Amino acid sequence: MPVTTTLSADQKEKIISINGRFDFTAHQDFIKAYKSDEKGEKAYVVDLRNADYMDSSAMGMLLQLREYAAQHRVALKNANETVMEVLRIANFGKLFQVQ
Amino acid sequence: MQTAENIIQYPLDKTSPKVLVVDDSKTNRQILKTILKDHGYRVATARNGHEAVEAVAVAHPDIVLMDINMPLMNGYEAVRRIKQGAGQTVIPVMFVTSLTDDASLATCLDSGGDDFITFPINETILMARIHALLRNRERARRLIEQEKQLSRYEDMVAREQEVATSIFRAVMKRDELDAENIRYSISPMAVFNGDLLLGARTPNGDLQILLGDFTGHGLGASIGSLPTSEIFHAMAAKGFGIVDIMAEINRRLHSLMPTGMFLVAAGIEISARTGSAMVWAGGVPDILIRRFGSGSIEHIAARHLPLGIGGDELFERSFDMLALEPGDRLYMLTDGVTEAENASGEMFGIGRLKQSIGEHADPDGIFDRVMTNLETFRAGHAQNDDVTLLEYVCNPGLEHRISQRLRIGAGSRRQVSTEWHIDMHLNAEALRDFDPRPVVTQLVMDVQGLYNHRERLFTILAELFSNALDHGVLGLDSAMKRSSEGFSEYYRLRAERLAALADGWVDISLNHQPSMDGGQLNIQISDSGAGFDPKILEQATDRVCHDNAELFCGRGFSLLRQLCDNIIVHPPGNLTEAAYAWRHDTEHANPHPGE
Repeated sequence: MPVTTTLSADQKEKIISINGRFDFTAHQDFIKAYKSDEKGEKAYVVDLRNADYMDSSAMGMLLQLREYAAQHRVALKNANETVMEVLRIANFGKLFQVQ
Repeated sequence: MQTAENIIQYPLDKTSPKVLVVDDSKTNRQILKTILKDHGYRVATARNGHEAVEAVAVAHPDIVLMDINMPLMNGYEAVRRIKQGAGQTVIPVMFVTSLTDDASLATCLDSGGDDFITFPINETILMARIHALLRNRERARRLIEQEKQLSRYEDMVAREQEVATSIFRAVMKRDELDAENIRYSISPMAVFNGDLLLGARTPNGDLQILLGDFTGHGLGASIGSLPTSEIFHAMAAKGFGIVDIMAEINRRLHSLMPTGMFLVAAGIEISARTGSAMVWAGGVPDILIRRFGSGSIEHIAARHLPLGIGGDELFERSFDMLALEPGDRLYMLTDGVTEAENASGEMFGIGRLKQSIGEHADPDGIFDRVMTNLETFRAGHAQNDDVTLLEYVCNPGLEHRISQRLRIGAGSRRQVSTEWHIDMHLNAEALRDFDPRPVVTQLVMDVQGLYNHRERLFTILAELFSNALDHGVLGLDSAMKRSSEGFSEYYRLRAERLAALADGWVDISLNHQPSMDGGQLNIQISDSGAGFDPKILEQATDRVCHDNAELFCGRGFSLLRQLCDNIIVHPPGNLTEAAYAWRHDTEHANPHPGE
């Protein structure tokens, strides 16, 4: 599965893990990963440990997730060097917690 | 899966399949006809190949049962003709024959037949095969229909793209980029990949360039380029600074585009006078500068988020200032360049780009070399994104000539010269957020129709206003700008002090008096600062033109002296008065001493 999810013990945070290329092919799965929650219900962590590439459509998906999370935080974790470079160029550190 | 028995359920009406039975033996025709009618088929008959060909044209059977040996024309020949005449219509032909030798049966298929069956006829097998052929026919018919639809759709898309391309071409104006010191590459279809390249000149001849890339592909990605281009050109023509333009584009795109769609873009404004460049970059790959003398390469990384993600609350006005010397080269690009892939999925990357730009003694060949290296690297590997690249070479002499040439446009519109007066007071809050130069220039032109004077008026206003704001209100020392580091530091400090500005003001007062053949505009600008000693400035500006080290300071004042008929700095130095006279019958009021 290109996208898998796990819930934190207190159910308040969902971890969305990306495997392989994070681009438009992951779109359906990525949306499914959070649309089952109520809007503004949870905080999210997007685990990019196994994402080896990310394009601008993936950045668009992250922005949609950010809108969906509303007042809750969205953190981007464990990005590899290539993905980190994409996040840096787009200055996504201004919008997301990049860890 | 249907069985032969299902076929019996066909009702004998006009929609049931029609079979053409071709046989010279009346008995055989009768046997087949009986079986077929029992199973609900409509039946037509022909007695030889010749009749069969005619019957196909007239009766339009769904399937043909064909004997081989017949007088006048045999079955093989008839099949060839039927298939040939069928065009895109599929007419399955099954040979029904008493011949059983391999060669005859093979020829059945070679001549274009779809199947064969030999006497004695087994009714169940015959019907099953007919049914199978009809099924294939139906599939083929659907496939042809889909192909037709697809080709109609492709035609439609091609037509729509043609229309869109011509609209986009009209909107994507970049005539100002067709200059000796600018080279760029952008494919004509790049707009459908979201790429965008715009160029314009402000009224005082400054060059403004926007290079960007919308997320996504196709019409969706290209549509946002329409408002972007409109805003860019409208604001550039009025003399708005690049940061204001980017802010407005951000605002508009945010309100227009769905979440997740955005524009990564860099806006650059290059001063025609000093050659300095102001850079606002959001989400784009690094902008590269190759220094003329050393060949060393510097980067400007994008500081900001892409445009359209958030409204004003997310837009940051900070920018990079860059001092360019003659021969310095500036490169702007989209990620189509850095992310161009070779056959093994490796990316071109910023490293290879820097190498292509840095090496070699012939700087004029750099642009072509980058394009060639990129092509070689990709080695025919399909382009996954368009390559958009721009090179700007600092050439102050050329910039000066271009800005002089700009005096085109409205011609000599004669207008009755009138007397009028405008006062404007800008407090700290207004100074932080508002650039009065374009508004005031526009106002003057609207009131008096001084269209042919707009570059000069804009420049005069710009110089007076930045003197008042930078030195008066913000207390910045222009001597800082003498070194390249100080130059950047100056603009950093300027942005910092402006953002923190709590009090202070600038007053602008315009007085116009008609004269016999034109009029005189008096501009008064005063500020809350402590003033300065104009004598120091005058000493400094006298030697500035030939002194490279002072390229970035003190020039404003000497320029004002050239443009205005009279300029007075009143003690203690926080009130400056400039007089600009103009005449109806000449384009410019006074001969330009610099020309």
